[in-house]
Amino acid sequence: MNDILDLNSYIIGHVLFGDIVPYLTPFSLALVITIVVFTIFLALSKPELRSVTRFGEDVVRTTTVGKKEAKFRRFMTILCGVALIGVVTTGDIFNFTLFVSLVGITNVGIFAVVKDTHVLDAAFQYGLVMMICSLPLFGGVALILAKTGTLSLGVLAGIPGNPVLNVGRMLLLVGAVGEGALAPFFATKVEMIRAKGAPYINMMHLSSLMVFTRLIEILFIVG
Amino acid sequence: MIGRILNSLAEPKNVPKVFSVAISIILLFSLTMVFELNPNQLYPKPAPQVQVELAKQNIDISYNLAPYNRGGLPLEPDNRGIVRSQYQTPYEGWITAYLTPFSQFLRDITYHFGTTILGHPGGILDEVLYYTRGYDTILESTILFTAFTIASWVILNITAKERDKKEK
Amino acid sequence: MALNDTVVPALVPQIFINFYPIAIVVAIVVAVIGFTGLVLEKNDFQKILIVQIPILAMYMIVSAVGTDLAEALILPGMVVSLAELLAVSEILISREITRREKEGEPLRVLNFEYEPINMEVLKTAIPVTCIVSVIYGVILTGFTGGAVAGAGILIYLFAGRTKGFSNEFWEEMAGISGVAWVFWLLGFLIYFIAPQYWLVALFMSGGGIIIKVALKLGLLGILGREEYNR
Repeated sequence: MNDILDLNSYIIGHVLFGDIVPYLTPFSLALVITIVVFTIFLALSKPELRSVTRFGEDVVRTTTVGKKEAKFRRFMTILCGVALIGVVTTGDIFNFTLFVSLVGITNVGIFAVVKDTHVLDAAFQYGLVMMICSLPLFGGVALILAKTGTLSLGVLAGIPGNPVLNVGRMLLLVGAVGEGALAPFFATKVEMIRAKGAPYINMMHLSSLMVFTRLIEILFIVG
Repeated sequence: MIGRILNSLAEPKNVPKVFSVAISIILLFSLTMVFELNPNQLYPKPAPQVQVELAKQNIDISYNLAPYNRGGLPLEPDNRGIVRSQYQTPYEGWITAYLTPFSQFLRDITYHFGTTILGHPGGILDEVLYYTRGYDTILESTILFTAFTIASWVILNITAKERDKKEK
Repeated sequence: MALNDTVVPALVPQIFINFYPIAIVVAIVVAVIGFTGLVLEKNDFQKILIVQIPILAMYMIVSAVGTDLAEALILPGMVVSLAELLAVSEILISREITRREKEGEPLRVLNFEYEPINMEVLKTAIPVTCIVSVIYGVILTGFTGGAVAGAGILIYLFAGRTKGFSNEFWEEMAGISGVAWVFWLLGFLIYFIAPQYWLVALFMSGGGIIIKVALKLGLLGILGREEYNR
């Protein structure tokens, strides 16, 4: 009956933080290790400098990333890594939505400091989508809370699915897709990736992947 | 045709519109469902106006905190406030009745002090926000301060520089 | 006090159950109206304002549950949407500046013409309001206290006459507030790990958060004022 145990063979451990109980399974442990290694790798690497050649000119230009700008983007990258660890370990759906919002806002932060019109425009549209998606995210959670009377994943795992719960799950799916910059949103992401200073941008791909993986697990647990 | 749709999706400007339409469609379809509230909820509260009516009858001074009276005495393990949380925690119900001396004075003279519960320390909402769901509050302020950081960085390094240039 | 319907009921009262479907339907209608406006609107600045309508619908769906938990959940929802609004509007401003710099289009600066009113109370009331709200904020402590104290500093910066502080000064202030926030987090952790030292935790978290919130609001205030005066 318990979906958490069906999906993961056993639970390694959990922490009691009042009503919110983060737990660790073998699967999420693997994700946490990936995130930690990747974040350390990105934090230590230097920003990439890109060369631009143009037709009709006999020069190669090297773009530079300012020291202050690189520092700020590194900080946002590390914060995004911390938020991702929260996303994969949390044991409460409302907590999950807050972590996804934090991932979204740090993703915007990585790009907000680039002085480039198209990058800033893409970041602005991403921010707009984030604001739109707070309705499906928090609204979906509230529908699940009203139907089942609980927010804890440990209790939700034992509750069978029903049509109203499916509406909540669907809203949660759309909301997390918007906040975590997933598939249909890829166009805007491609615009943003054209920003200079490559290593920090990779954090965005990692965040999409991790948010989506965890989201699928949560949708199975709720249903 | 499909190519044209994909091309319009590649424009960042259209992405918020796509999301709005998608969410609207889900919401409109969900109107056909029967939404009902599960009566078995965590942290339930009494019906509106019940506690104010009791406060006016002067049965118990604690009803003056209407509609946030949850019983108990502050920081006393033997006489805790009633908190129906998901997982029982050892120190719950300690601060549901906690008030500062000034707040206590206000509670004694008026029935409507409970409406400002967010403006003073203690009370059931602080119990929920800072103890049983304290992790949420940490996150919430982290999100706020991340946004503060982004905004102040952009102002200090882009907007303010623009101003300095203008002054020269 | 025993468990009864007037303190903590066993089940949610019937009135909340009766109102719930109506509230959800109203919220869906509000959300669809807001989204229609968002699809039709072309101006980016107007879009930010219209997005607040779906967010209002979100508050309605959450509050329809009608428990203390729902009340506590509205606060994070509000703070998240506020934070996103703050970041997104700054990005919009910097985008416009970058675009106009590139295209050589001059920035429009609004010049208001007005005659200053000379009244004693306008000069004295502002510092007094600031001091009173800062002291009251210190008494309140916590998040609310920080907001009250910060609002007092904001009033002073917006309306009062201050000597200008440099950008470097405010960057250092931002650093101090970061340290204060770490104190708040540590205080919070002590609550969970060692609740018997709650007094230490209270002082750490209360003191940390008040410095943090007040300084951050002050920072935004002085930046806003300089924006306005440029």
